[in-house]
Parts: sequence; C-alpha cells; structure tokens
Amino acid sequence: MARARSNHPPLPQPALDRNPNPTRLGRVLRWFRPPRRLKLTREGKYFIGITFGVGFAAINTGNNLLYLLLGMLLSLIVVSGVMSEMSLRHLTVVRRLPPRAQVGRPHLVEIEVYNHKTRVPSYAIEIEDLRAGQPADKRCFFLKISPQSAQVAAYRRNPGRRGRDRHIGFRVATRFPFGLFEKSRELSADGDLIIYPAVDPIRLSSDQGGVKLGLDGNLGRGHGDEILGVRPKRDGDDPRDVYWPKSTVPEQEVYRERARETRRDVDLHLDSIHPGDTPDDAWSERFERRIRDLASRSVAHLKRGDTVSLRTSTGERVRAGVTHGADPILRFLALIEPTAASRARTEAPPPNLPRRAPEQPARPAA
Amino acid sequence: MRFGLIHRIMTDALAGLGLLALVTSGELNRWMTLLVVLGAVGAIALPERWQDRPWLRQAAVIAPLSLLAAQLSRLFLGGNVLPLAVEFAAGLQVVRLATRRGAAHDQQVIVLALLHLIAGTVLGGGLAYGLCFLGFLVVAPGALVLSHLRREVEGNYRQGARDRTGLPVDVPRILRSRRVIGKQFLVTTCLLSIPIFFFTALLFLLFPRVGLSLLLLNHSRPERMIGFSDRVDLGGVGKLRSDPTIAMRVEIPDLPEEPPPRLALYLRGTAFDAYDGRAWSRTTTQRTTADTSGTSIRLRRFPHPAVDRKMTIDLEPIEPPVLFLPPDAVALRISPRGTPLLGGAPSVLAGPEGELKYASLEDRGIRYEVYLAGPDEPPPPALAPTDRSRYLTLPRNVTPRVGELARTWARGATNDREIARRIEARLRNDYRYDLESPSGTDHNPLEHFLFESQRGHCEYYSTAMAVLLRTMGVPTRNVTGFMGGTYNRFGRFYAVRQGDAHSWVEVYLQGAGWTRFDPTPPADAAPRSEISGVLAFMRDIVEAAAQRWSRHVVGYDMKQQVSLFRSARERYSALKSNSRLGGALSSPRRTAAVVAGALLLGLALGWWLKRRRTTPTAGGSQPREAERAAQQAVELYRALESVMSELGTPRPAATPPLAHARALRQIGHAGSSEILGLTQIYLSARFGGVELDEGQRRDYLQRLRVLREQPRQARPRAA
Repeated sequence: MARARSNHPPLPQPALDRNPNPTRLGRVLRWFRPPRRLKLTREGKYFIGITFGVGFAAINTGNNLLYLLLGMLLSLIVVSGVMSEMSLRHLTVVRRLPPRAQVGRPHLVEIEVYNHKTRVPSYAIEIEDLRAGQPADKRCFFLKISPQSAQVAAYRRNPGRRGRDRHIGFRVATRFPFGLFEKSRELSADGDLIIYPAVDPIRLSSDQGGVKLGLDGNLGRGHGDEILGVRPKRDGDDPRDVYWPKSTVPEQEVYRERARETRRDVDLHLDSIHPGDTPDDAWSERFERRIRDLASRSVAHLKRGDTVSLRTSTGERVRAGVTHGADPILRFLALIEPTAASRARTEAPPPNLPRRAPEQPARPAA
Repeated sequence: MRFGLIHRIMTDALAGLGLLALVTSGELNRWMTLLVVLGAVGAIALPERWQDRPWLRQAAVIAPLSLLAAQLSRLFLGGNVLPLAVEFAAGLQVVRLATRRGAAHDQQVIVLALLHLIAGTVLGGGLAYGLCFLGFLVVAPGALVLSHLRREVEGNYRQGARDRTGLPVDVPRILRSRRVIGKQFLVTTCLLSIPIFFFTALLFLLFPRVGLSLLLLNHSRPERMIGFSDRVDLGGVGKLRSDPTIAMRVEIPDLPEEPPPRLALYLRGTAFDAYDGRAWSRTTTQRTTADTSGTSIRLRRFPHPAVDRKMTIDLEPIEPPVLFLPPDAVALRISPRGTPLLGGAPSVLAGPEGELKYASLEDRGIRYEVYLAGPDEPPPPALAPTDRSRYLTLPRNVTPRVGELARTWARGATNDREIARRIEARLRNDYRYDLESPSGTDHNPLEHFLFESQRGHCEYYSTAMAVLLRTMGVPTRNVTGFMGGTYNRFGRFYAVRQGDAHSWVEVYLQGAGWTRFDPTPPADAAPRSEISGVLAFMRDIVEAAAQRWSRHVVGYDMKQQVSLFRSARERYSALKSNSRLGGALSSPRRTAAVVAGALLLGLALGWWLKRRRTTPTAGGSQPREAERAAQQAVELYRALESVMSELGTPRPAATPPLAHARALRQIGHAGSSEILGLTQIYLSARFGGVELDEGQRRDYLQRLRVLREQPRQARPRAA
C-alpha cells in the first residue's frame, strides 16, 4: 500500500522529484515551480473569450454595466481558483495494488482518498495513477468526499508486458467548482507491482524434456494417488480406501494400499544471452515467447505436483515446488532481462558458485 | 434535496433572470413579451421524462432553424434588426429549456442566460436590469457548480455501473441522490455571492474609466414627448396628464427640514412666438451653439459656483432632447457621463426663444446643474422693437370678439402687468379644466374654447391668454415645460413626471422682462400622482433606488472615480494626522522603518502559519489518530482473514467483508456467528468511528485464537 498526502499534515514521503540530487540551479528552479498546474478546459476557453469580449466592449464603449459584468466574470474566476484549492487541499491518497498481476489478465487497482478537512467536502476529484515511463491513462473519479471520511474507487488494468510496474505517484486534479479550469498537483507515492508473464494452458506430454524423477528410489506405501496393491482391511485403516468391488464378503473388506507420492524434478532452461550489444527485435520477440512458454510449462508442472528448476544461460537459477507455488518462478521470469554476450562473459560466475536469482521485490501490501 | 431537482431549479432561475434582463429592456413588444414569458414558463414546467420523446428531440433541431428563418424573413421584409435579434435570443432560450437533455444542454442554457445578461447592458440598463444582475450574482455560482458536477457525473459514470458493494452508480441514481447536495452546500454556494459581489464592486470601482467610444453600443429608446418640437398642435399635451413615468429628478437647494410633498416647480422647455389659429410654432428656427466655457453654459452670465444657488436636474432621455430650466436660471453646467477619450461632452444649442437642446453620443439622458439668479441680479435687456412685433402677431382667424373680450376683462387696468393679471384671473376662475375638451375638433379651437365650451386643458388656457394679451398690445409667447414635482423622501429629490407636462404664458413686462403667468386653474391642473399610502411609499423606494443605480452605477465616470480616490486619500491623510501612525510616517526614514517592520511582521506571520501547518497539533493530529485507528482495525481484520483461510473459507477479493460473513452464516458454517461478530467489530472500528482500546483489541485477538482452535477439534477428516 502506498500513500500520498496533499498539504497538511506533511507528506510522509518526499515530494515528487525525478532527480533526488538536484543541482543548485535545479533547487532554485524547483522553488519557483508553481505548486499547482492549471489548464483551461473547453468551457473555460469560452468563458475567458466572453470575459475578454466584455472587457473589450466595456473599454470601448464606456458602458458601466459592461464594467460591472466584467467584474462579475473576473470574480467568478477568482472564486473558482479559491474553491478548487479548497477542494484539492488536505487529501490523502492511498493506492492498493493486487498481490500479483499477469500479462493479459485484468486486475483492479484500488485508490482510496481521505479528506482530512473538518468541514469542507471535496468535490469532483480525479486521481490519476502515475507510472514510470508510461502514459497516465488510468483515472479514478470521486464525486464527493465528505469531510473526515474516505472514498474508494478502483480502476481496471490489463498489463501488456511483463516486468516491474513502478507506480510513482498521483496526479490529483479537479475542475471544481465551475469546470473552467483544471487544477492539479502531483503527489509522490511509490509502489511496485510485478507483472508476471502470461501463462497459457498447456497439456504436458509424458516425454517432457528435462524431466527426471525425483525420489524415484523410495517407492513404498503412502498416501499418493497411485495404487500400490490391495490387502484385507485392518483396524485403523481409512474407510474411504476400501475397495468395494472386491469387498463382497461381509467382514472381509478389501483395502487399497496407496503408493507413496513421488515427485518429479523438472529442469527448464532459458537462454538469456543475446548476440551483440543490444538484442534485435526478432531475438527479443523469441525471448519473450520463450519466457511465456516457460511460464506456462512451469505452471503446468507445478499443478501436476512436479518441482521445477529454471536456469538461465548466465547461471541464474530459481526453483519452485508445490509448497511455494508458481510465484518464485513467475516473478523470476517477470524480471529477467536479456544479457549481452560480452557482459555475460565478463560477469560469468566461478564454475562452482551458482548465481542467485534476481532480487525478489517486496510484495506490495494489499 | 435531490441533486437533479436542485440543479434544474438553479438553471431555470438563471435562465429566467437572463430572459427578464431582455424582457425588461423594453425591446420586445407587449405580445412578444407575453409569448416569451409563457413559452419560458411552459418549457420549465415540461416534465423531465418528456425530454426523451422523439418529437421533442426533433423539435430541438427544427425549432431553432425555423425561428432563425422566420426572423431572417422578417428582417428582409423591413423589420428592425435589434428587436428581431432580441426575439431570436429569447426564443432560442425557450427552445433550449424545453428540449434540454443532460448537462451539456444545461450548460448551453447558462451560456445563453449570460449572453442575455450581456445584451441587457446595451438594451436596457435600468433598475430592473440591476435587480436581474443581483439575482444572477446569487444564483450563478450554484447553477455553475451544479452544472459542472452533473457534467462530471455524466462523463465519469457509465450507464449501469455498480460500485464495490454492488449498488448501482449510474447517472439517474446520482441525480436522484439526496446525499450529494445538502442544505449546507446550497447555502455555501449562495453565500459565495457575497465575496463575488464585493469583488465585483471593487473591480467596478477600480477599473479606469478611459472609454475610447470606438464602439457605441448604448441603446435606449427616448420617450417621444409632444409639446417640445418645433410645432405644437393645440390639444396634444393633455394626453400626457395621466402618465406617471419620471421625466426628470430635481434636487433643489435650501430645502426646509421637512420639504413640502408637492411643489409647483416650473421648468421651462420650449417657447413659441407664432400662433396660426391651430398650432404654435417659431418664426425663427435657426439655432446657435450656446455660449460655453468648458462644461459651463451662459444663459445670462457664467456661473459662480461658490456663490450661486444650484439646482441639479437628472433628465431622462426624451425626444426631442430639450433642457428644462427654472425661470430664474442664469447659467448651467453639464455633467458629462463618462469621460471618453474620443468624443466629448454633449453639445448644447440655443434657440431663438431661449430654449436649449442638447446632442449627445449616448442616449441615456443628461445630468446638469442649474445656477439660479440671486437677489442683486442685473435687469434683463429690453426687448428690441423688431422682435416686439413678433410677439404681437395675431392669427388670421381671430375675430374682433376676442379683442372685445380682452378689453372687457382688462377694463380698469393701468399697465401691462395689471392687464395680464386680470385676464389670468378670469381664465382661472371662469373656465373649467377638462382633458377632453370638444374645442380641439373645431376649426377655430381658441374661439370655441373662449366662447362655447369654456373648458379645456393648459394649452387652451395659455393660448387664450397669449392671444388675448396680444389683442391688448402686450407681447406674449406660449411656453411648454413641466410644472409640479413630488418629493421623494428616500432620494431627497422632486420627481417630475410626464404627467406634469404643462403649458403657460410668458408676458414681456417693461423693466421685469419676460414674466410667467399661468392661467390654468391650479386645483384641476395639479399633479395627480399620489403622495401618501403604501403605493406611494413603494414607488418612492423604487424611484430612489433607480436614481442611485442610474447615478452611481450607470453614470459612474472618471470624475466620480477621481473624486472617490481623492476622498479615500483625504481620509487616509486625516487618519494619519490624527493617529500615532501619522507621527511614525512623518519622515521618510521612519516610513522605511515602519515598512521594514511590517515586512518582518509579515514574514514572521507567514513562517508561523507554515510551521503551524507542518507541526502536528492537538487538532491537527486528530485525522492522523483516526487514520491510525482505522489502520489497526484493518490489521485485525487481516488476522481474521488469515484464520478464515485456515478454516478453508477465505474471503474472495470481490466480496465485501460483511457479505462474506453473512454468506458463511447462510451455509451454516460452524464459526460463522463468531466470524460475523468479529467482522462487525471491524466495520464499526474502520468506518463507524468506534475506536478500539487495547483491551478490546486483545479480546479480538483472543477470540481469533479460539476460532482457529475450535474447528480443529470439530473438523471432520478431510476427504
């Protein structure tokens, strides 16, 4: 959960600034940067046009009633500025990201706005969720946020590519009260969401490459799905495993003995080294397709109960089993980036020291 | 209050005010006014559900086009542009009101109302317009806010959308909602008119009045008045007697503490020297530019503002534009409205009989000060012998019996004044005042009046006296103007109305010059306007307000502006000299010190305010406390969610907590009662403002532990 707050009390996080260490000139410029951005709406353009027209006519005719009207129009502009400021102030914005998201599967991002004002409601607040390097196209609208209360809205997003989705803040805007201007301010609120690669439903064949049986030598009785054999039922046996077709004689029920569950280890490999300094489009496309394929296969194996190990050609490795679910592998695949061949050679680890998977990002709080 | 209903009322009110500004301009004739009013009422009363009907939607397209075609046709047939344009603007608003659908159309209604208000500044501008403007100030903020909110609602909520709890959030539901707009909201938006009013007034006062007069948009229709043109037919003025419209407002100097409610104030407009037996006219019609010095105009001499008594006259626009003066006026000074850089003060032309006419770029009437003769004024110049004959000329149709009547009435009189008094007295006493005199239709109205009907109005009396005196060799001329004046206690002026139009006689007396005689019976000719009662009281209030509106708003000019600034500066100087602050600012060094001190104080205040904003205080920490309590409640519920997951009943992300707990209860889950209880505690702490103390939180966690253990004992073996 990430939050940002406008004005009072102070921001829990530093104000939005792309450059954390600005130069002196940058600091001076930032000091002069207006805290609000103002944009004319279409209605506002008409209004300003009418105001200019009335002013022009007033000066050219000396008609005092036109001066009076001009005063009223200018007063409305001033009041609009004051009221929009009142509406924008003392708001806390909180973002709630889902625990996981996947390419091609829509997810909801919740935005909660809390109005800290004691008496004045905030009207027509529009929150735009800002993401690093991506256009701000997701907005939530709040018609009225009563004083000392919160409103929650959510927007739906369908990620198009895997990777780390960095939410950097909010743009809080309002066109209240008259819709003449759109006043906005930006608030910083970091939040990361890992977008997993898309997973397609696939059917695993029996001769999957890289499959080996783990714990194969330990066959014996257990609670697996496989039937090991039948025997007469004894006290303490689970009545659900009585083999009824063979239990026709009273008091001589036949019991199915189950085999111990075996687990297969599946090793998957990803070639993450691209030729040259930058990967060409065709290679990138193949790489992404391979990632998608690996993700799909990993999930299918994990659903079947296999343990999946994934290695890359640069030596990175990740492993997941039924107890952990697919998250480790999907997160790994979400964040992996191709490495240039030249860098891969210089950064290659010693043969006996396996490389670790990329740093697992902290899961955003729900 | 329902959002949609309030929005509709406010928009309708704004549209009504705009239409009122147009209608009160007087540009629309009576039938068109009635049509517009009825149309607007019908459009407003149209049920909202009808607005989706196909025929109304077709009307929304066809009606404006038809109206445009009709007005264009009338224009090509010779109609006047301005009334046609006003009718079109009003009609367009009526059509829009009737066929509006959604916020965009409501915004069009508001824009049209604003345009109507702008048009009203040029077309009308009277007190009615001022009231419309005030109403606009009160209603406009609310209407604009609601219109914008509705626009936002329509733009942001899809039809059929639902919120997280499953309730519909579509537009009709929000428009029916009573939670969006409360009384407080309405009061606040209406109270916004107060700062808007003051800011408007401030801007109005401070805008420099440097009108270029490149565009003359002022438009008013002066009242055409009979009796002040170059030819006056006998019997025309009488029709004005019942008209209560104000012609001018007169402020008279040296009034007693309780001014008389009525005054027989003679204000001379024009005079005629030639009577042809049917109508009065002038022998010489040539006019010359009045002898002026700046804005002062010489009648007998230039004014001495410090010495002369001054009468101020606010003259409404009339046609022809005649200046009205009391008989003892010696000079006057025009108060120009506005100070246009290009243009100038009205020009004044003097006629041969002492009448004055003005020509101005604007038709909003004129304000002037009349300087009155003192006791030691030099005698007027003698009448030249060449001019004397003009004032003795008799019409051809005068029979000898008129002269005989004059001689009979003047028998025994020794001088011209005596002759005039006797004839005046006979006419006053022996004849009857009648507005419907039959003499007007006779071929010789004067003799019919004198010998047959013996009744008539002021024109008959003045004509009769003038002709009778001329038969006696006394020079006379017929004068038209106003006689009367009703005191307005609120405006402290005498209101002279159209009904006070009057006609009298000026007789040239040797040594005294032109002297006024009024042969009309005074009792019957007295003004008919009421001076007491509720109606008179209300009329006085309205007329005083109209005068102030006209003088201080419509007539606010650079002179008043400079005077205002000067007055403010003088008051500031007086304050400075009377206070310690004045002593402190007496030298530049001290002034600098005071300014520096004020700056420091301002900086310190700003720093303190900023610090106050950033430092948590008791009041300021309240939201933070509430937020922390809410956060703790969320943590508790997360723990409950964890237990529910262990029990195999996790809450789906799309299901609200309470709905999930109730669903568990419905399926008869073993721990559902406890889960429901714990969920309700969470909800009351998270959204109900209930703050959980440490003991309650501990108890909550303890119940969670019990809940987690309980199903293990009771849980059947998993299949």
